[in-house]
Amino acid sequence: MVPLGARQDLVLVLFATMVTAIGAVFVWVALTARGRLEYQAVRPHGYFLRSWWFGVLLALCAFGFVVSLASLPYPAEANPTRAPALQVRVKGVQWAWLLSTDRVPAGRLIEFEVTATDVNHGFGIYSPHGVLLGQVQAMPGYVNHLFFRFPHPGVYLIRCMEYCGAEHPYMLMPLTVYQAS
Amino acid sequence: MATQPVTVPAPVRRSWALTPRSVVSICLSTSFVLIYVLGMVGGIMRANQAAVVHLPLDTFYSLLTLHGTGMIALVTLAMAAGLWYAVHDILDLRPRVLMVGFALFCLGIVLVLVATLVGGFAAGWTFLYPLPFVNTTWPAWATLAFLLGVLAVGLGFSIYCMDILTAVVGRYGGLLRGLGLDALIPALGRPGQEVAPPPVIAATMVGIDGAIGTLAGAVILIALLAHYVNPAFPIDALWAKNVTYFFGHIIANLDIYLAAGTIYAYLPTYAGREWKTNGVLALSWVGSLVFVLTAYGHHLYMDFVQPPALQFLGESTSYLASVPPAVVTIFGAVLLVYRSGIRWHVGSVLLYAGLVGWAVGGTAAELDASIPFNFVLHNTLWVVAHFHTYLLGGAFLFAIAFASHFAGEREAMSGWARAGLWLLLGGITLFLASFYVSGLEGVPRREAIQPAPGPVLSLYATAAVAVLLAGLTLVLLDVWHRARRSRAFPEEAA
Repeated sequence: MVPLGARQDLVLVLFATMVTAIGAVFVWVALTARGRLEYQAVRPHGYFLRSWWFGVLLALCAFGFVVSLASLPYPAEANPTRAPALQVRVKGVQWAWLLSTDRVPAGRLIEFEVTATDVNHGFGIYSPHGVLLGQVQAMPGYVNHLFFRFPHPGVYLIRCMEYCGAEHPYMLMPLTVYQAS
Repeated sequence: MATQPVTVPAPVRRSWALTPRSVVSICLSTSFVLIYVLGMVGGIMRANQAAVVHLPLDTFYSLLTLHGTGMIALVTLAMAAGLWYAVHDILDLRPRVLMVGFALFCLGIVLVLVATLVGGFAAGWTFLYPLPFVNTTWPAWATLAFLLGVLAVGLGFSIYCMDILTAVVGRYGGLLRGLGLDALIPALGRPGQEVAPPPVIAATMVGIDGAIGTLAGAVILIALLAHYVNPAFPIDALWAKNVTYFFGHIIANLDIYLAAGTIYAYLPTYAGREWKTNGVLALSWVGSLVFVLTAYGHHLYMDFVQPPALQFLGESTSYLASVPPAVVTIFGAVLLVYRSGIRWHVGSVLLYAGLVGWAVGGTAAELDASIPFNFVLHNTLWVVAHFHTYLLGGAFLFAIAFASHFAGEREAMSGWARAGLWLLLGGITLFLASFYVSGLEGVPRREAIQPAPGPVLSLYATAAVAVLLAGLTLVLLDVWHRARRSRAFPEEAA
């Protein structure tokens, strides 16, 4: 198995917690379903609980939305100054990646200008250990700007993330990240 | 000693007529047979990803296109039939109109089958422009057949939606009352008229969103057909992606809302409790009506050129979309079951299990709908995991639950059915777990040949498909047996 990235770790913890809670509620209700109470006796308590549940869920949605704004991958948020160390032009074609360079420095902010000439592709960056670090779509007629900082030197892998035809699984390219002096 | 002669009731032989029961039976039978076959196709694809079988790449992607398109259409068909049956008496719906919609569905499915299996069309069920037209490995006619097939399915569904909306207006004098809003705003009510019951509210919401969604589908399909006829016809790739996902998201999402109507109609019969309309329920369905239309934006988070306002609208309404079902329908169903002395049978077990699938699939969808998480989950198998959870582990279970209820559940649950349920639910759990872990591991979706650890996890998934199909076989045979029995002896099943 590939070790999970930090964001994937967080998703796993949140998902496991919520699924456990959902499972516990459903199992408990199923186990207590044999005994019979009149609905009129149950409903007021249920509606009271529901109003709390509504408040909690709404608060979770608001919290999730606000927190997500702090780590958006979009150009205005990822690099407000728009001053990358290096710009790399990326073109997706069936079924290869054309990059203006295949060597970039570690620890510096890189701006990938990503487009496609034929169909939609997905520019996915995988660490040397196989962890998906981030991605952006490559679309004909548009240029998506991805600002990205490679944490460590090594051979990373660019993999197509959008189905683009029969040879899609083979649309790969190594990207060498070197130690910046 | 004289004995009384024992009279054995003779089986009733009936000819097929266009009755509500016969039309719904046809829709369900067609849907289940084809879902079963496409489930096996799904198993073959997982076996290919596990390197157990080796399909040519173009064959794999033709099957993927068939599986995706077919499953969405067929689960919609099954659930549409279920909801139609739940409200047909109240709304005085005509079986003939449902049959017309069904015929268009069938025409569409046949065209998709021909396009993929004969023509080799393989642009995916999203047929994202310009993929159907660029460097294709299939003949041009296959593209035409596929687009016409999807158009026919969409037309069938739009007829279904318009028929429901027309009937709602006829019965309640307006769509606002069809949505039960007179329970929230009494001034909207009409003297002497009861508030619409929950299944009608669900049907009205599905009718409105379905009509809007299929209209969007018609727009993109006609644009693609125009491009097919004249390749100089210009289509903007970002516009096409927006319209395609607006259409696709609505239709796929509505499957679970179609199912909600059957939950409202049939769960109370097992629990022995009533599920009545009130202002909160009506308001929640208005919320769902809006959020289903606006949440599609999460499909385009990774298109950084999409206007930021649409990205934020997509994220906020994707979050909010979870609130009405979680607070009203799922919570309400759990409350209905709590200490109800519910009668557990195939139908009630699957309705309850389907609610778990809806809740878990919704949770996974919410995580994926967070833009920072989507940065590492988009187009991985996590996405496939979440929609299989609420389509296979939710909507499809609701469809079987409805079929079981429809077939009659007078007798106690058989041992075969019980075993089938364990296998079905166990198989689904294992199958979905494989997708979730693969997604977290960064395995991309739609890859015939996966990077590690995809193949190992696909092997587990292949075994899980075999288990769930075995369970499904037992459950469907049990339902079929009961349906035959209640047709032969209607007074026994009544």
